[in-house]
Amino acid sequence: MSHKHHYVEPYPEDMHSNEKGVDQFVTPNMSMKDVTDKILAPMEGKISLGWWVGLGVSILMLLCLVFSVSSQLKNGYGQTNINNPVGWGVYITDFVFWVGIGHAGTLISAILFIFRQKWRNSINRAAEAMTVFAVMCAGLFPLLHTGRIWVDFWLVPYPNGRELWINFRSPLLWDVFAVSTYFSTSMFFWFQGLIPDFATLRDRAKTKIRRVIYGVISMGWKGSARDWNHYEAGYAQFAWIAAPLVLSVHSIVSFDFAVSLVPGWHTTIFPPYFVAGAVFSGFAMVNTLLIICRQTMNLKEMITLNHIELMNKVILLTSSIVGYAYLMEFFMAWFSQEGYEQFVFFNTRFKGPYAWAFWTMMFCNVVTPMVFWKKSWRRNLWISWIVSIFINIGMWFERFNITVTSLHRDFLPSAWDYYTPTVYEWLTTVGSFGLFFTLFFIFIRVYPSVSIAEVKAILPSPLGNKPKKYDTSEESVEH
Amino acid sequence: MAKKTRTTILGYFEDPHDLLEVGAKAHRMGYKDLDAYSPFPIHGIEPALGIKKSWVPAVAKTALIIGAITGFAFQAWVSTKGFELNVGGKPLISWPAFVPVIFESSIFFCATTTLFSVIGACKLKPVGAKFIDRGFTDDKLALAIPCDEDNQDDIVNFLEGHGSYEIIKVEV
Repeated sequence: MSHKHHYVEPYPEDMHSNEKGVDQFVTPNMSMKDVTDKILAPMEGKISLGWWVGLGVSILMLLCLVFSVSSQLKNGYGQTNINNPVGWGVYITDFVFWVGIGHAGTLISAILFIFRQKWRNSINRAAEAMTVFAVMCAGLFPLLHTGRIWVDFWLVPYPNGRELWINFRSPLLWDVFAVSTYFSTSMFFWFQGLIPDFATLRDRAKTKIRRVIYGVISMGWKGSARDWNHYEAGYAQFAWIAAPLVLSVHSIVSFDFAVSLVPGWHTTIFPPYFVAGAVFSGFAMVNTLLIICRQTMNLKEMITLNHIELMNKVILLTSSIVGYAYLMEFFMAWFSQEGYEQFVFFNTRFKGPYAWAFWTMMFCNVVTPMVFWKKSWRRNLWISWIVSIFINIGMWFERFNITVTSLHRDFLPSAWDYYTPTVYEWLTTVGSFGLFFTLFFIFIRVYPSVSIAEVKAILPSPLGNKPKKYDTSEESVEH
Repeated sequence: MAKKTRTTILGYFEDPHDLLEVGAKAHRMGYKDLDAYSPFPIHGIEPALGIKKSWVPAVAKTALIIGAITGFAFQAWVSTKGFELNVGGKPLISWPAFVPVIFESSIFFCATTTLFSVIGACKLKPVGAKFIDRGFTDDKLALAIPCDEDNQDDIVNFLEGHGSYEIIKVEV
């Protein structure tokens, strides 16, 4: 290859490749054109049968949600078993679960951006989409949990005829602000990142309708250096506000519990423990989705095994943090010699009617991720995918465990009860997964699921294998 | 009224590094208002072409502070004037409880401002945009040098001499 001898690395700080091809995050020899073609192939080609089946199943699940919510509107909140003493049941479990899922997307798009982790460039788009959809699912549950869905707008402070204002001292209200800010900021961040890619779609559009739609949403993006200058400054600004935001959101969610006086909830470890758990569950969900995307949409060149391995390393780290937090709660219960605290941990979690939920959580979240200590298992797609499913289940049970076991044995033994969710609660839960996957399936069809512009920025050699048409002047050869 | 356009010579390059080198050289040679077109942000191109740092972060940070002040002021007003509620004998302005909402409102103001600043700074608009080359969002890179009547040939020679494989004249 003649171009080899004078090929100059464009910007060495962006290069993650070395001679042996280790640590590469885009398969070498991909040119810019290849990247565009590869990423857009699933959107421009024929719709596969698998996509239709996936969307169909998701919509069926979504119908469960439609059914249970309409039924709640008709019959009232009594159709759930959420009652004293377990006033927070599956709905709040689902809420915390979905907010947590969202966190990985922001971590990948913002925090890894700040730390200059270039490997995020090929996975951030899908992860951000996941964030937006997960927060939509999350937001649904507190709204349903209020029971009277039609007056949920009372949560918003506005001048009203009742002359009432909201109570800013309540953690539940902080949540309203945290989740809505999180949703809007994630949405804006995601949208800004999509503008150049929408422009790519506009410029390649073969049908008039596509050209018009993508033309309007890309707003005439030209890709000039002056525009990129503002774009990148704005992107970095988003990253710098989204990073503390993501830490604040799950901290505030944990305040819903920690600011109360219920034994099992009233602990100072909650904010970091919740944030670590959120990142843990979110990365597992990213793996669940990415491995499917990678295999079915032929994105192997951009989503490499190196990505999966790094994701699994983060999963291993955060699994260890949540494992530590679980044990630390037990230690503190013992160490404090506080009877109520000890009762919750030793008599209702470790053993007792809900011990099955506790041990499911322990097995899924602390034991299964330990397979990732082995390098070849971290790089095995089947193992990664199955473990990610275990973690999704385990993290759902973590929230169930926190919410339900702390409540079901109240201070008054006469009030003790065993809470079993009704079929409506399960249908709502299944329906939220339906909503999530329906949105995700539509997303991979109408949006580029890998960021085209950002992958081009980390290409080992933007020209691919193609020799240069012209040699440049001697100055560039000297370097 | 149509905006005034300027005649610009575009020199296409294949390698982003060449574009950067030649752009920097053009800047050193004194060409003004340089620009470039690329499908991805080329790092280091702003100083090379003499492009000023973006004003977006400054505006966004101002919005952050305004958001924080607004968040506090609104909560203070609600707690003292809007709906005076004594909670456990605590002061009406119990500021530690206001911190989460102050934080979130500052972030919300900043995020909204950032997005709209970027849209405004890049002069993005949903309809009526002009396109030079649809390859700039795929795999084409070009250096744009605005020209006058008298220096067109110089610019063309300059670009040709530095390996530009295609040179066109456009109105931008």
